[in-house]
Amino acid sequence: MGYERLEADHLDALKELGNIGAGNAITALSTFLNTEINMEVVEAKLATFNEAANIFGSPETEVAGVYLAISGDLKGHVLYLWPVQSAKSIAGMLMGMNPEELEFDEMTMSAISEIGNIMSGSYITALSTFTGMTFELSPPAVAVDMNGALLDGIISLTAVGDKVLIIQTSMVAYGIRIAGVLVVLFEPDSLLKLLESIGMGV
Amino acid sequence: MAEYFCGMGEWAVGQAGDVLCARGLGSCIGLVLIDNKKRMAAMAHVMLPSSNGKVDMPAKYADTAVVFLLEQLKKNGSSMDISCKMAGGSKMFNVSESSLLDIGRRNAEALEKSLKEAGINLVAKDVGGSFARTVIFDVMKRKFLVKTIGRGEVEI
Repeated sequence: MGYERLEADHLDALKELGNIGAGNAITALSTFLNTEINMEVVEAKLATFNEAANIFGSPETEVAGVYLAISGDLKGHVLYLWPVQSAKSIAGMLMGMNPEELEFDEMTMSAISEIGNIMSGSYITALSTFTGMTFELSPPAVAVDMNGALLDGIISLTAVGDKVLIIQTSMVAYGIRIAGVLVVLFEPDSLLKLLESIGMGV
Repeated sequence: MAEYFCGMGEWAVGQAGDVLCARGLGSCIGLVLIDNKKRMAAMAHVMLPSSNGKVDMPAKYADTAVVFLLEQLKKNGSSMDISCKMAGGSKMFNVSESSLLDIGRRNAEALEKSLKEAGINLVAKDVGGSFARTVIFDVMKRKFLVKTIGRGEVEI
């Protein structure tokens, strides 16, 4: 397929799927951390590679990311990204520690990984219920490094021409000022199947 | 005199006074072909090992980027006495069951094959690992700098 065949209706449908998934994920995280978290923006958009790599301003911005591979009926990728200060805040909350004192050691990475795991799992469960398809998630993998580098492999695998279709949810926990972005990308053939499953075949 | 930022799949040719860079490389590779006689170089930000016959973005793929950059250098009056340096091709996430698994390594291998076929000498490389890189090439000084977060920077 070519992404040029995707119309505004398809993007709206994918955005709605993103809403359903992200709503579930945020409820799970709010419950887990016992704090209020709000979705700010859910977008499904065709982005150029470089728009996608610039989610946090520059491809060199340091972020923490939790990655899970989606397999089963569809092939895709979930990545939950936080600016490093937000990642420390959320890990500190989970570990009952002052974020200022946290290093990205094994324990902090493990806390970040668990949060990413819970959110991505809830997101995909909602998607599975809605579409009637079966998905499996890989164990979470976590990394702290440049934003562009955490995304480039996933962008490479999901790109068609010079574009990538990205379902992106920005969220903020106001009490502790955590900003994160949940990014979902499907491999091109899988995207087509996903749209078919909701009666929006291209 | 300019600074060229090669985004994913993009390329640039620079002359004396220019700086070529590719930022935030994970599995991608920053490849630079250097004119050994004139102050001229070309950079590509390579994303995937194989084009599978696609011709839309030659700098995006390892199997088309080398030949494409050579053509661009020739058009710009290069001496065509060329050597190469490259960095990137890392594995950012430790996953065992994803198509992401070894894309960085495959990018590096495919580029080495293309370079060999084109008869270009790969004089330095900094590939693999599990960390991000930014590469900067100063055409005048012929200086190839690899920057990281927390691992400092090295000239290769």
